[in-house]
Amino acid sequence: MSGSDINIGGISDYSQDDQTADIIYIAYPVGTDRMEWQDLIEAVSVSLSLHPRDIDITHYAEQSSHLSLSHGTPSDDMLDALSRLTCPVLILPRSRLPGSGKHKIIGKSTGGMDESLVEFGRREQQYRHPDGTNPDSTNLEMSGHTGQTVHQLKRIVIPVDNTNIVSSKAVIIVNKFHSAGIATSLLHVIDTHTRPKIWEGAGHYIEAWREELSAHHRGIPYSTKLDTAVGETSSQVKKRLLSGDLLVILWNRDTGHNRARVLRELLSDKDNAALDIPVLLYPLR
Amino acid sequence: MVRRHFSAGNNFVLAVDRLDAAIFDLDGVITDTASLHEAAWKKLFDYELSSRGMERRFTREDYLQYVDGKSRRDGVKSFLAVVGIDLPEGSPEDSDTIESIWGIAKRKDEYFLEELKTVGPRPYPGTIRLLKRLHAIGMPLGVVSASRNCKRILSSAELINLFQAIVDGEEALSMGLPGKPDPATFLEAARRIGRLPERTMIVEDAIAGVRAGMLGGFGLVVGVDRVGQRDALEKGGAGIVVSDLGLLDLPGNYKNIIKRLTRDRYNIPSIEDRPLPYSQRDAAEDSLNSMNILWRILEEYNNPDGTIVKAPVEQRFNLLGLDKIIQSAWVFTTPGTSGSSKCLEDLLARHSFDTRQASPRAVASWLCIADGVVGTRGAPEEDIYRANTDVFISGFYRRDENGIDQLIELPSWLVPSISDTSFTVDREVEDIRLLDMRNGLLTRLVLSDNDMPVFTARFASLMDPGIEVFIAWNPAMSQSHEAPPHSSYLDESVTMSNLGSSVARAVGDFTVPIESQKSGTGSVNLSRDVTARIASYKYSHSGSPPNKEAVKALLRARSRGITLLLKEQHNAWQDRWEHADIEVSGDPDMTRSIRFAMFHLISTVASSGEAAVGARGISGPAYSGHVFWDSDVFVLPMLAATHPPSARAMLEYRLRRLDAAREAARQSGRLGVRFPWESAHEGTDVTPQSGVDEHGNVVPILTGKLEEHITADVAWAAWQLASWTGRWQFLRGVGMPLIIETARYWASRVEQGRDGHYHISNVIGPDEYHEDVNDNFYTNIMAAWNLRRGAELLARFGHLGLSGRHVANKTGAHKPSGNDSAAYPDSQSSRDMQGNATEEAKSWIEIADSLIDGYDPSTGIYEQFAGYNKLEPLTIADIGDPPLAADLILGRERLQASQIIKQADVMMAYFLVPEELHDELLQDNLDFYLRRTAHGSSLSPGVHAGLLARAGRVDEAVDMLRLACAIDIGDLTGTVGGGLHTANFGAIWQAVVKGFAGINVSRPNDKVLRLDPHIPDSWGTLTINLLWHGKPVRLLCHTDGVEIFCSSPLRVQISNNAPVHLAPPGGRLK
Repeated sequence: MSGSDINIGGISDYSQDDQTADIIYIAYPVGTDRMEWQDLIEAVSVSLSLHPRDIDITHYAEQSSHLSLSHGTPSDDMLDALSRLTCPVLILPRSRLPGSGKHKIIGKSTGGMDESLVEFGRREQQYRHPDGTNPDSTNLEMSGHTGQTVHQLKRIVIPVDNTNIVSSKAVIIVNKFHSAGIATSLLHVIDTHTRPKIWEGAGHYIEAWREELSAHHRGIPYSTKLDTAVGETSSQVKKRLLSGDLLVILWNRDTGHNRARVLRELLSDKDNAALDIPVLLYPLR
Repeated sequence: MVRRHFSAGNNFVLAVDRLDAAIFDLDGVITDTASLHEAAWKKLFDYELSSRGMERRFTREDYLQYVDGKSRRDGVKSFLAVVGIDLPEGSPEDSDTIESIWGIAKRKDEYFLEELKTVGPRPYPGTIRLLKRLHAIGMPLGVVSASRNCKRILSSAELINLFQAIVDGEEALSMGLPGKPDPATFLEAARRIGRLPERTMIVEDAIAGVRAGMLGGFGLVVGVDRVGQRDALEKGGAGIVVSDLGLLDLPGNYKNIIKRLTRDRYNIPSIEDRPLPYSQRDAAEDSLNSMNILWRILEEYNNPDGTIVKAPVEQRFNLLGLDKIIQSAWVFTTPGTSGSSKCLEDLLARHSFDTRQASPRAVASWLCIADGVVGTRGAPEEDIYRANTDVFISGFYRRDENGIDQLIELPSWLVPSISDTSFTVDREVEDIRLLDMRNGLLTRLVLSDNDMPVFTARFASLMDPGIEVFIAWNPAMSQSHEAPPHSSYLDESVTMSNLGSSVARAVGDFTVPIESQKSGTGSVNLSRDVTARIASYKYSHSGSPPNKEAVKALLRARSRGITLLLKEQHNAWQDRWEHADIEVSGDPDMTRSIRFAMFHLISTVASSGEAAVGARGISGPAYSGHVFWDSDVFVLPMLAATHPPSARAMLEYRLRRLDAAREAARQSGRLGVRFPWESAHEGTDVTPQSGVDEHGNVVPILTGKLEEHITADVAWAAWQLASWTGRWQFLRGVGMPLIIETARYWASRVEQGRDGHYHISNVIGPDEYHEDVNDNFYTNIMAAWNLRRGAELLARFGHLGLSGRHVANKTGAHKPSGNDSAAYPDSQSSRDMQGNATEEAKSWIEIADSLIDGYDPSTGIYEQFAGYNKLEPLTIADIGDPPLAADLILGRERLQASQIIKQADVMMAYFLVPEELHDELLQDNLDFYLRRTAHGSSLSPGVHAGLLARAGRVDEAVDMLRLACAIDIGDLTGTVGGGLHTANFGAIWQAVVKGFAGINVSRPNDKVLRLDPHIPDSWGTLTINLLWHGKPVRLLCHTDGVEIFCSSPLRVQISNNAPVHLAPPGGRLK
């Protein structure tokens, strides 16, 4: 072949595989003060280099880029509506976590201050180095707000199922958040759908199985945790969500029978406790 | 001893293609030192007799009967005992003035040296000619002699450079090797040469020497009769007796001999009269293999006006015949990592096994190419930095910080990337990877609209293990044919293990012309070159790294050229498939899956030396490369039935670790040998003592301590080799400890209970869900089987006492009770040994008959272990559809308290030793245990497929066989990225051969090929090729009958209780 040759020994770049559109929808329930979450929205948008657009979850209607959903509608309807969106959707909780007090978002600076802490408030934002000093705000890629309450985005939690498509997308997202200085935790739950048909038990087998699981996510930063659990995925995910987490669900927008199990479970949760955690719904295709 | 070497008048023509090495005695065979020795012995004994006032004189008969072929010490002892002279033994340090056995022996040496100095060594001309001719064709030669002056004699005769191994009396003494007729010195010489005894010729003139050759299981023993003792030599075990070695000829065509020596070292004759329908189909398949694609592309692109060059990519796909290739049952296909491969994906979407969703590491395992010694994982060339392209060497371990041996992952020989070979990978290409199983070739084709195609191929030389070849052909980069071949890169490296072994690697890149060849149309020279890389690996178990050998092998391979290397590869694989291929005419996907299994089994196991076959072979690092029962029970039978040298190499691995197994038995207070559950470099147990469970908790691993059935499994494997090949001399000779010593272990392992029966307590069976159980069915049945086979051998050959003596000498093992009945002391006569052996054999039979088997006559069910029936009566339907991870669903504690099993131990016993069980109970037990089996082991589905077929439940059997095939191709364990399940492949083969074809080799010393086919309607005809007692056999099993093709008369029984037929040679029985 001619042209721009690639040596046989070359390495392909994961980031080249990310073909998601350049916008992110923000979905929020009725009664939610969207601006209350502006800090989170911006942190996620900046990390993923996407521009936010809104979806008002009030009534079902589709208007070009503005999609509204009725809160409390059956989860199937909501899933159906969400499945029409080919872009990431950030689903906001109805309100701040109870007793959350002061929240922080750890963001990325462009001034070589990856380790710096960036605090966002409702109406103002504060920047703080680990040593307590304020950096030059012009180095930051986030618009500021001021306020007394800030949200601390401590961790991104991504359930993974060990399929190629989910793993490769998870690796891309992990790296993006990692670049923004936000820690990520991958969670593989061995449930009825993900457990191997033949499971040979403790010892060499589990060692080999874990090795393959890790290899599947090769490319994630060294500091990223890859946890495993046994049980039902949605309950194991809920169990592990903490205040300050962002749950990222990778889905192929297939709402058919037995698909989108975790999301379905979260949306149909009567108490909606899980939705006290913001969810980033990230399409695989 | 079977005579396979034909006679031409007074001469014998040696079938050297069936021999890998030759070992010669010295005195009386190579040199006429026998007359010098005889003269020295006469001088010595005449003096001893006359100095004691005795009239008797030492005669020629005395020489032949009492001292010829024996060590000096044994010769002195033997003759003095005859004449009634009683002297103390003394010690090897005794001087010639001391009146002791050793002192007199030293005196004899001095007499001999005087004779040698005076008369000279006098080599036999006929022997010299034979030695030189064998040397000329590259056959390794060795010398074994009781003489301590062996090297001195060979040097003075200017012959020493002909020999690769010399084991003389000096060395035998220092190593503690017993003299002839014990085969130890011959076996040591074969070990040094690196060839299997059964592929080695022994040349001897002494009766003791001939007997040693026979006892050692050597392939051919040639007796040299210069003194009129032909009958005694033949009786002793000589297959051929000649009066002079000048009467041994080699076949006339030297080139053919050399070709055979390098091409096919193994004793596999061809089917002369090949059945036509099959051959025609073979020819059709040949035109579809990936080698032909290579030729076709090279030809097409050599012609700028060619139709393929001008066609759009989709059309090129079809023009090249790729659609047909992908559907061929000889080809396993996956997309590459680049491009959309839309055409390919459309085709694969119609496949039974859709390989598109596999993890890259699983693909790398699937596409692993190996030659029995070196395995290279099949990652795409551009993926080499992602650790998918590791290389593994069979048996090359390092010890980690926890003291556990790990198979070493070596860097790929494909790194760094090959010079001058680069290509664009964009998204608009068809990137196709084809594993051509017929030719042992992994090829890749990248087609795009805008650019010339790129073709790569790689293979591991089955003919010359250790040689790896990569070819990349890129027309844009290729050079003119006029350019001379050149080398652009040569690299040497050594990897040392902390266990003393090492691997040397040499790599060279070359630009070489390649000859294009179409099937049946002759060759076409092209004006294009290919860029090629050849890597050479050499492994050394100990000692210096074999750097020079690696470079030499590389240069030899390079001098043969890529075209020849490709042809050799084609020939080598053709030879293996000829006696191994299986085809299901009505189900090409099943055929492909079975061939996939067999391809990897053939690739995994070496044909000579020792073969350490780990749980994942050499296709990946999982399970640390440790050798489990998987290899003996599952892998070995396929090789015993298709390529016995590989099966023999697997047993050689066990034989060379007998001492470790003896020590393990001794340490547990038992006799005999206890093989480790997990074995690696030294043969000690390397099972990890703990592991992590699914919750991340550290849990104890008890299998190393309790899963003892492996000791009987190894014995069963040795018996399998003899059963398939009909070569029982292996078990009478060097293989005997694998039966006798294992039986001895069980005899000391059992405990007699108050009920009068024997029991085995505190074990784990194959069902690892239930640990530390008593009277495990499989363990007890296998132990009983082992004891019976041991008793059978001991009763017939116990007078040889070989294995017993080893126990006494090396370990001094004894029963913990203090009632020492351990071994046969050296001084015991043969008759005493036989007496003891008979008694011991009787006791083994008694134990075997009285071992608890858990049979419940009220239900007809064998209980899996004592107390199993009282466990929670869960069935598998209570928790889901098998296969399933019962331990994850129920949790460990509840699982152990339930009747859910990982795999059925009762069924496993039925699979291996049906002769120990009631045939008529198979159905009931199958039903009972299938309802409780989770198939939580990759070994389980294959076993059940075989048993279901044997029971006539063919539809269920096919489903189960599909499940077994999916374990690797569908990655049902989620661990295929760490390597392929070699034992599952063996189980698939056994399910087809022993289950669907119903071949039964369980009867001891059976001379009849027994089969009882159960063929599903959907299968049409099941064709099986194999070797039965050295004879190539082709079976065509139809739903309504069987056709049998064979090259020589074959006694066959089709279905139980049917009469035995004689299939005619060269024809078929229908």
